[in-house]
Amino acid sequence: MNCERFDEHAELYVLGELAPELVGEADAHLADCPACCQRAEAARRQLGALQSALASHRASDGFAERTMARVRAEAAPAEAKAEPLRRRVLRYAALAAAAALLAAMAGYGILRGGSMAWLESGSVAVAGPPARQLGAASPLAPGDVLATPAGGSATLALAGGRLRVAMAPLTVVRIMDPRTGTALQVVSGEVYCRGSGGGSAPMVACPLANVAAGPGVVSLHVTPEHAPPGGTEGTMVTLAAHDGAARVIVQGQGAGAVPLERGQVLTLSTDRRRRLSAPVPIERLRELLGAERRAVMARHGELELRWEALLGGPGEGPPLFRRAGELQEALSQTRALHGELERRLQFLDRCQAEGQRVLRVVLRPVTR
Amino acid sequence: MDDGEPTPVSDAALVADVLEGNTEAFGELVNRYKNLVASFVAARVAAMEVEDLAQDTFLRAFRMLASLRDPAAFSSWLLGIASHVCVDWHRSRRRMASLDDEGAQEPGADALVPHRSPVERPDAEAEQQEAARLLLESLDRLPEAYRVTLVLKHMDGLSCQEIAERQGLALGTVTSRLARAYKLLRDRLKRLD
Repeated sequence: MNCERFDEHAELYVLGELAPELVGEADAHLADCPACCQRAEAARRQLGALQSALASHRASDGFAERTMARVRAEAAPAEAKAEPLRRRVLRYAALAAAAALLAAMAGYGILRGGSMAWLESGSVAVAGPPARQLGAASPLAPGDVLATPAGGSATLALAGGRLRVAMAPLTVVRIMDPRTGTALQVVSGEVYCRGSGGGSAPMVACPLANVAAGPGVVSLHVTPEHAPPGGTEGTMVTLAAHDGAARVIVQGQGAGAVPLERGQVLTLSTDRRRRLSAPVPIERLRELLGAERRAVMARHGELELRWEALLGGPGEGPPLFRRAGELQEALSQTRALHGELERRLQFLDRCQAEGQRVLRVVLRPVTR
Repeated sequence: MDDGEPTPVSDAALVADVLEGNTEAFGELVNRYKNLVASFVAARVAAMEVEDLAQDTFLRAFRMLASLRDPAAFSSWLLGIASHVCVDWHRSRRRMASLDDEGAQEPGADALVPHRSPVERPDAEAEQQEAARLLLESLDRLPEAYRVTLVLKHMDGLSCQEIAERQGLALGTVTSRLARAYKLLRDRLKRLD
């Protein structure tokens, strides 16, 4: 090995990564070449410096766990679709209803297209075509109509997909998401809902109720039942009608038809005007809120620097924040704004994690 | 089956596993490349943004995994995503800055941008910091394949053999990438001297 060749391989030699057949040659060369010994020493120092420089940029402890928590939340809806397939086989095996029930049924059903469903209680028959009993050998298929006997009720659990509700007079289908507390009464049309309610956290969606509409349109009367302490009414409504239009009525205001697609959300502003936003994909909203939160954090950091500068010398702070009181107020505003954005983002996380998993549908004829 | 060393799983195999629905396999990819992504992002944005944006990178990669054409090139693809995430962040920062007239006019506003310039302190610590900064800047300008190899070697402490197995490469390819990367680093640092 000559000096030029050693120069090419000095780092690999120092790291012990030089090919075994070259190590002997390198050792022999070093024994006779002080310049290359220096080169090896320099390589060792540079590699040490590289290692130290990189060490300061390692991912923080727990990074992978935190990242995977977000990834799992993202993946949850897809996984939820797979689980009911197994459960469905077991549950449908116990289904006793038959096509004969159709004659006595209350007159409503569910047309499904792509959603996973299983029976929680009661009895349901498949009206077909062809009419048949649900079971492992005859799972639900797109276009199936489910029916319950007159006076009876049944509970189905749905995970994702699309739910179309076709109603007979004097019947109501109540859709509830037990995890998030969302409740909808659907008189006709089709709806996919996700939402959150209960508790006193400021950024939770209101329970949705009092739905009434014509074909293809679902009206939702938004009633904030969980106003947070401090009084801000109306928080965030997340609602997505699948391939349809949602007619949203904000309490105290007029109603408006909002075309919504699955995965989109509407937000209701928390100020007195209670403006309803245009539909926005949930992911987009998350990005916007994330960017806003980061900007607020940066702004907060900047204000803290100014605070330190102000403590260091009264003449050095920017004129607008010369007075400590003003600066402290600005700091508390950015702190509050950051907390608010955090809550909104957590809410979106919850929506994504839970919103599409399971909707429990109670089929119950009612008298009005 | 051999009881000794566990069989190393290649990136491509993990990607295939994730695409088949095994979300947890993505965790291994996160573990493998968290330092790569964190160091890449750290070179481009303010320190306090690194964690968020590095997470965003992995999340976006998870969503887009089905579009990855060559699963063996996962790490380079991941850096491409990290680059987009950082660009998006800077765009949103600029948008926010243009809305924030007050901040734009005040001298403290530049506290919002990442500090890339050396600290003006004539002591040994500052010199050391400056040397580290130059080193990282040079590393940042290496071709992606070289940077990935260097980071896996020096941040994750992998041997060339382990890097080769993970990335589905020949051992010779990894060692020659390393040698080439060191040479490029040396040349660049010499030019800066």
